[in-house]
Amino acid sequence: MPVLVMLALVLAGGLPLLRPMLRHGGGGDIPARIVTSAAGRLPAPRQEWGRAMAAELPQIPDRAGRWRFAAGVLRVALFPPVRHGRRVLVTALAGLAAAAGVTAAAAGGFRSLTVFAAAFGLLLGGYATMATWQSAWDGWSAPRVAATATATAGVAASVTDVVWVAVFHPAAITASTGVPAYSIVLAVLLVAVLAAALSLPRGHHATAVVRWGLGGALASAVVYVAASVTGAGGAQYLVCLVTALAVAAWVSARAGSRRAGIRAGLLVAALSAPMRFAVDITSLLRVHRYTLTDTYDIAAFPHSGYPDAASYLLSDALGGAILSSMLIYSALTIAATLLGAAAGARPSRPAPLTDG
Amino acid sequence: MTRVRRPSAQTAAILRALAGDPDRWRYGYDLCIELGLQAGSMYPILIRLADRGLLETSWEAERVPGRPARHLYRLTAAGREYAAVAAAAQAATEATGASARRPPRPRWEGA
Repeated sequence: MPVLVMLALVLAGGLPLLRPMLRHGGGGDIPARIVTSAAGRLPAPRQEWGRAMAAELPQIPDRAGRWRFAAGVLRVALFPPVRHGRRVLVTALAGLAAAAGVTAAAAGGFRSLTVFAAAFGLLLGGYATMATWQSAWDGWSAPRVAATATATAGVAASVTDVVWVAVFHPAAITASTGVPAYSIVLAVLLVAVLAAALSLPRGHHATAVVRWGLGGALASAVVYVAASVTGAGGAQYLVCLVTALAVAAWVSARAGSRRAGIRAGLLVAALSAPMRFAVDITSLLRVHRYTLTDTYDIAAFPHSGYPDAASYLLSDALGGAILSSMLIYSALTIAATLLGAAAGARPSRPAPLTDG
Repeated sequence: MTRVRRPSAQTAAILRALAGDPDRWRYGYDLCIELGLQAGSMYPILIRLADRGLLETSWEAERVPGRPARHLYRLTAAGREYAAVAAAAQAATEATGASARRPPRPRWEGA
């Protein structure tokens, strides 16, 4: 229900703000935006090449040619010439070996974790390989290290919770239908969060984006944890949305760049998602005795296939946390970010001219 | 003579284009058009050549209003030497291939 209310609020308040952005596409033609964005993603030592490619685009008169050129620049940004080929190979092999090791360990000890371990290991290894290929580790600063540490801590806490559930309530991980879709979805989301947090912007406004995004995520996490510990439910679900909206609007207005505002808000969304998930599951794991109170659950449990009430409730909670904490609230936070950035970047209207 | 690792066909084409008029600065997009290569193929090769010290880069000195300064490329002295050696190696390979493929000379069966 709170989700529906928030969705309605976002739609009602946001469409007027987002309309100009949708109508004008944020300014500039799409190939130019692709080229600018892709060129900006090149590692620091390759930034000059990004500017070189971007400077060629105005020379291309025809629309198809511009699209082809933009696709080429995108390809260079995704797969830039490898500067440390051996390092990429070692990372790929290490990632594969780690994924295989973790999967084998899970299959041997905690069968319910096998799918999650395999998916998470392979995705993480793949991401690490891509990041090494793109030299994403170059040019680190203190705020970037702090943001990465925060993302890693959130993901590690989430994984720890999942492992904890798998060890003590293995049936909660294995869905009663036998389809481990949640395991795969969770693995994808956690690696996506890490990738989003680690793929931080460089160049213009980068420090402000990282600083404010990190600050916003930590502030909303503190409120979320406090609300969970004290049992004051309800309002904490709005905190992340409001924080992302405020951060995006503030950075957008201060930097004079809607893109910077969006990036800061997205960082709030990415860093907050695993923290929310970990807090939700941890607060449930603190319960010592699980009892079914809902009439639907009492009726459904005997036919559910779960061996005990704890597994039944935790399975439900895990699925709910993946869908709500990770997916739906993240989508809403992104929507709030777009609104905030649009509001912050709104040009101030000139004062009406008056006679005399 | 130092053994030169044979460049790919696309790299060889770019080297030939740049070595054709080695003193002239070239634009990336113009090379794409001339050689029929996409930017996604052209720029990684240019980057690798520059990494190996074979390509010299520069920015346009004269600013043209309404557009950003463009990047310019030409071969370094080492690049010219490499292009020459690679071209010679390519020619030798083609000559060897051609003689290997040449049909046997018909024997004279007169008298």
